[in-house]
Amino acid sequence: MSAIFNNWEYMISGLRYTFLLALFGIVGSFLLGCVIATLRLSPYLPVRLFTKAFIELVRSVPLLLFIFFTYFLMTELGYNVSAFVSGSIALAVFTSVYVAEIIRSGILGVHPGHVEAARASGLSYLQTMRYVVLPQAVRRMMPSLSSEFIMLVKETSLVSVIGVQEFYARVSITNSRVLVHPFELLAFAAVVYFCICFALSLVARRSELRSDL
Amino acid sequence: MGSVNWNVVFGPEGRALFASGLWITVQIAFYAIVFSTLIGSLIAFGRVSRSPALRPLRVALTALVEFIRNVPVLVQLAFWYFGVFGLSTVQWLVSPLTGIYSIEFIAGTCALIVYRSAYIAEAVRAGLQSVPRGQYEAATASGLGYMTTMVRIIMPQAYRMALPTLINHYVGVTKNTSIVLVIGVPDLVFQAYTLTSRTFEVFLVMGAAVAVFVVLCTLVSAGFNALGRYLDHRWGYARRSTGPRSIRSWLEAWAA
Repeated sequence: MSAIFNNWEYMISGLRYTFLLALFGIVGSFLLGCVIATLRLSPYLPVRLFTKAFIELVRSVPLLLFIFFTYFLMTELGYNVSAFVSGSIALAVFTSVYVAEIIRSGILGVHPGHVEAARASGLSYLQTMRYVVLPQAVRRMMPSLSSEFIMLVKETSLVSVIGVQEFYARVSITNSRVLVHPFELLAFAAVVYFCICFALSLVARRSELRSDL
Repeated sequence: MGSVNWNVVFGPEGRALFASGLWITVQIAFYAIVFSTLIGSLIAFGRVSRSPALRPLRVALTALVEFIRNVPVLVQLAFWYFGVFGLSTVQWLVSPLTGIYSIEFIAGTCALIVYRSAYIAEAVRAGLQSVPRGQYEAATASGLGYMTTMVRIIMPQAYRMALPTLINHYVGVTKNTSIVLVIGVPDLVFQAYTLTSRTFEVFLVMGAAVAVFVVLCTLVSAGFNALGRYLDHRWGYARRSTGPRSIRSWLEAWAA
């Protein structure tokens, strides 16, 4: 246990980066996901094809490769960004295509009769979206969205490969310095991640029940 | 940028690195898919068991699945590599295998198998639970034993129902193999990284690695989808008519 308590400050302070990465990832991927979902539902075939191709492309790339690619690409393009910024961008873009598919299927899951009824009673396209489609779609999307975001929290640990000093990176560094207590340190990391993710999933489950009212 | 130096990827060095990396990736993906399906299925069967005597087992399995699903795979990988495979007993146990595969390879594959088993257990469990109760009752009423009912009646329906989710996980595990590079297994992404640091042709090399993964994932999902269609045909489910279609309608359907 001493291995954990001696390095407690150092390891726990890495959670700041983990939370920030998760926050940027969630907000960024949600905004970008909305844009991609909108393009994906566009009435123009070329736009749909292009968006679908982009989604399929990103979906078949491992996140680790995507993180490296983004990091190198930023440098190649002449943006001098830190590993943290590059990692956040990679996480946000990578997750956004999954979020886009969730949003899209949520919107398509709304019965077309509701849209027709709303339009027939004189609501504009935006009003139909705002008052009829989205309230139903959001409710439908919540379970998948929350599990996607919990996945994102876990995936922030991968950003350690480009040198972001987040929680896992610090545990890993501590582990290679202490060397003789791998079980303690890694079990500690596992428990911390488990508490965060499990708490998030409990919160998500509760809020799902409420939205059923 | 100027002219593209394709030789970086298609020259002898690039080809050799990509080929050796791809072979490692394919092997890990294969083992992970096979064993996570087996272990995941066992967990799922344990969790849908009904006997009151097995209640402790169900509770333990549920806790295990929840724990594995809520811990990053990278942490689990380090746990297996530094923890479990650091023990001399475990090293002695797997020593017959280390002639074929490195200890990093085995540890990485174990981590991926265990991580994905938890997800596959959930998928199979959902499949098993979606088979209507009447199917069990009808099978039992017609005199089939428990094993026959499970193997001949329940499992085919459950796995067919779970197949789309399973395919997602198979593609996911194929992509996830890349994390073994952090413990030094020379897989595809590792070799692409090596080539990048030797040639500084970031865009080309990483682009090639992306292309290889796109092909690999497409093959995995197309293969299992074909399996699903074959089973539908074999078991006599109605198939969609596949008349001649124009390219435009095919594109419309793809981007629907």
